Amino acid sequence: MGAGILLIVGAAVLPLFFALTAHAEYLQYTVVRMMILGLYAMSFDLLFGFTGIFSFGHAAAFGASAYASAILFTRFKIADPILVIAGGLVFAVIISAIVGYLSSRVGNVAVFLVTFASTEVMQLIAFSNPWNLTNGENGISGIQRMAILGLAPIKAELNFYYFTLIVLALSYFILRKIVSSPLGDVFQGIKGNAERVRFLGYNVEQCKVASFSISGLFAGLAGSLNALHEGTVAPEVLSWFFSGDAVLFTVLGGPGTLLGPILGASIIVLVQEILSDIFREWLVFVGISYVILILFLPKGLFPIFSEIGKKNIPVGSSKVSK
Amino acid sequence: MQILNGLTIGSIFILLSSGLTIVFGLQGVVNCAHGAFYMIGAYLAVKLMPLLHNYWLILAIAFCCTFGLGWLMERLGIRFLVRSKREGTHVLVLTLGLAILLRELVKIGWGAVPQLAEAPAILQGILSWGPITYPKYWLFVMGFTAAIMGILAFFFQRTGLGTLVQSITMNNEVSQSLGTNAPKINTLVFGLGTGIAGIAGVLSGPILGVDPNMTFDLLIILFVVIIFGGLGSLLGVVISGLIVGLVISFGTALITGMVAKILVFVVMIAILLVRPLGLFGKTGILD
Amino acid sequence: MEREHGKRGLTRRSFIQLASGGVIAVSGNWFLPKFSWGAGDEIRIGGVFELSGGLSTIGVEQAKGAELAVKQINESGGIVSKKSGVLGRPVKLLMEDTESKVGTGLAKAKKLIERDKVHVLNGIIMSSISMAIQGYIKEKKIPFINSGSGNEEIVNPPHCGRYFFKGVFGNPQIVLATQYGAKKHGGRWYFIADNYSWGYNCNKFFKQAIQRVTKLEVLAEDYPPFNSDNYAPYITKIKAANPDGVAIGVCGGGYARFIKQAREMGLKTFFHHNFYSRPDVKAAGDASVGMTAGTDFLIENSRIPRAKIFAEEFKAFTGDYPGSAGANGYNVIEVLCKAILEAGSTDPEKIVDVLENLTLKESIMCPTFHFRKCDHSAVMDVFTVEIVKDPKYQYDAKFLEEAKDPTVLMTPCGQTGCEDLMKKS
Repeated sequence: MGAGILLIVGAAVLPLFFALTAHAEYLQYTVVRMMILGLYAMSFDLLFGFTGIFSFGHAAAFGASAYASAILFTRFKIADPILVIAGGLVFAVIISAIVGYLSSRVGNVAVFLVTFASTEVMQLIAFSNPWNLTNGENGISGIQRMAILGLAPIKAELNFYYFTLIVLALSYFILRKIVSSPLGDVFQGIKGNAERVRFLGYNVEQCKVASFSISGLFAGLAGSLNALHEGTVAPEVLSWFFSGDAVLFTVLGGPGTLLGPILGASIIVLVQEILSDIFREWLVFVGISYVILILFLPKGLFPIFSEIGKKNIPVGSSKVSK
Repeated sequence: MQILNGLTIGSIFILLSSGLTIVFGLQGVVNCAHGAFYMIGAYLAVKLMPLLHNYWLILAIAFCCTFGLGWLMERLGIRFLVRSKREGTHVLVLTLGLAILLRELVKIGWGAVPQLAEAPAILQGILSWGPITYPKYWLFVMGFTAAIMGILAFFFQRTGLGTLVQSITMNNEVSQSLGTNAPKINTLVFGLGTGIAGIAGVLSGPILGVDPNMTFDLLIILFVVIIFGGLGSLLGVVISGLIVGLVISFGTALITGMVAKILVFVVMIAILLVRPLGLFGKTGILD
Repeated sequence: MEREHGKRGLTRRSFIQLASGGVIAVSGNWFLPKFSWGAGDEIRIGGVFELSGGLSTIGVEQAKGAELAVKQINESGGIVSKKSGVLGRPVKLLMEDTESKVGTGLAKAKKLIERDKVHVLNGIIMSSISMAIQGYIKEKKIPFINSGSGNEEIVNPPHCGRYFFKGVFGNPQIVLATQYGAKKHGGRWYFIADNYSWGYNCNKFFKQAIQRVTKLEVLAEDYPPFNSDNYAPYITKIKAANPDGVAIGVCGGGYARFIKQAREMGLKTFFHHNFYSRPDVKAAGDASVGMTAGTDFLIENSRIPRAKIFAEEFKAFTGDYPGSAGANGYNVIEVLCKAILEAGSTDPEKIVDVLENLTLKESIMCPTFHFRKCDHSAVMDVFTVEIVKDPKYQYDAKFLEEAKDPTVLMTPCGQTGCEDLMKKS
């Protein structure tokens, strides 16, 4: 919890430093990207890190919400961002519940395939431009940020920065609450030994659906924020590669920590920015990262950082307590 | 005519899926990098053909290379994960990362442009036999696949090593009673699977084209084939590969390609839900 | 045991310290903009290209074209001025990779404009990325010339605008090359194109083009999924239909694959492809010989001797001859530099005013290269070429004919809906 508050305060203060440079807005834009992708990864952590479900289709919720928000704004002319986001969330939760329902009925490895296939189907549908809604491979552009409830403007990058920060912070606290609640215990129980949880009388399938739906809600939130931030939604938000990004961010940052994935997302964005100035074959590093992480650092980087923070752990100890 | 199209594409599916299902049936390992070996085999054929001019030699070289590479992957990576008692999903991530890495390395080393792969001269041209006119090379691919499947079947049913491999499946007690030999067998079989993928790459290059996207293009269809046929079952792979090939050929001719693609995914989800064992699946490896 | 853990704990800590130090040092570099502090007078051109991802083969060639142009202008002025640079100032091309993703492309455009303070922007192939950036530059008022998107949606409202120019032509123009085949072989055509909006667009305009020269009979229209592995089912259907010609709008891996598979299966019908692409023709090999295609650039162009010189220079620079992508990348840089020269400054308003009225007589594409005032789309020659085997180029595009009026299928000025968006705000 302490680390969380530290990060939030840090992010709130960061724009002051940015103001010293000649391109503050660009730096704000990049940090907002980190926050949105961080929210996306954090939502995946609930599913993967806490409930132990290896979904390879997390982009479905993000993309569903992004498209729904885009269509609500451009097609149905709904201006208020709160409504636009809410509409996206509803659609994301519905999709996640359906995928969750299907996934809860198959085994662990099959979940990978079912979630992957579901997201592929969604992307194919987006490409095929049903009822001329999604505009195929060109995507939907021209999404603008109107003032919330007509009062609070979020058009400027700085305003949207703090809006996103507030949303991220609230999401973090809510997820923290869920994870330490009895439901959270059930999730972690399913990760450890689903059969035992079943013997305790819980309906494991329903709980899995719940995990999918809640994580889908927050992924959808990230998706709608992204639509507002970039002003454009394209089929790449439903690509399996983007689903893989969720896995990468979480595994890099540390599954089961909620904050770790945010850190993982931020690091990847930062590395991407720096590397693109130097070296062009970016994807090689993605492949190498997957390999090195899963072999040597399956717990991710975050536990290492939090380990330094804890002063009372003797130098000799190598375990992090949960 | 369409039937032959279905059989040709089905043959490629069969060949590729056989490697995948053997490994899946034996170790419960999902090798996401299977397509990468397919790609490497195809690229080797393209690059070596102007130098060696001998198609059969190239097939052998491709097999050895992809066998060796797969052997290495198993020995260093997967065995490490299995020994550390990691979850099956970790192997997924590892093979996925390696697949991406291999694809990018090929792009850097050999370019991202589609390459030209030619069939050997004696197999080029059209065969006219009664009402059927069909490219000779495509017929050859069908026949060669049948031959390989025959060899595999022979290996698994009749030879000592083969029947030993068959009895291992996921049965830990049998593996343990074999002591240290079990891991070696796993590595060997893994290499066999990837080696076949390399051969499939050489065979299909002149038909389907050669470019780095081969790594992932067919992968999802392969999963459908092996799940439909039943994990670990070669017979299942043959039958399901033929069916899927035929369905896709007729499907794309009759309905739009987009709908056909969506159907493939929907069918896979349905199979996983309703009958995860597929046609001839042995154990419930998918829990 | 304890000693072992102690070693591990300490090494991990110092590793983190080292790594953090390294990250901070390197990211310090990221915070700083990319121009040298002294050279405030250089002209900075931003380039966003698809250098990785699905379209990278075209994107890399396009970027190389731009690089070559900048290099030549800096060395000797190129066609732009007598001395090096533009207005006596050196030109710097700052390139970024969109990774074929909208999110990344937009972020890179922002990086170039806000951090690196580029004066103008160029590049892009994917129309989705282009439209996202177009929305952004409208606010920032930075001139942006697209040098690779064939999709004319980007010059339709609401995407068109005062600061955006489309430097390449789109389907309504390039399909005019189909007319050669229609005149020679007849009007019974089979249409096959990728199953997404570009493909539908191809077929729609193919038909319009053919109808203008002969009676059109549409035998069938097929839309295989983009980048299909197996076109055999479609080829079987085409064989059965026995058309006068097949109009092809298949790109990506399918370009070469379709042609190869069709010829292997014994289909001998006349082929016309929407656009000539050198790498794809090479991948298809001999199967592509005899096919016609549309293009905007000819290496051996009797009206433009410069084109051949450019092609040789491009070969020296990159190792292979240029296709349309490289030529367009090069051309747009020349257009931008010429506009800056005639504007006399890097003031965006002046540059835009010049661009609206500019005709680049020395262009390697065609001597009448200019933009339409109403929607800022480029008007260029449309050539019909035939693929032939060639000892020098391996495969070459032989010139057959040129469209008399390249704009005939474009939406007429006055009806585009863009006119209002062109006004200064």
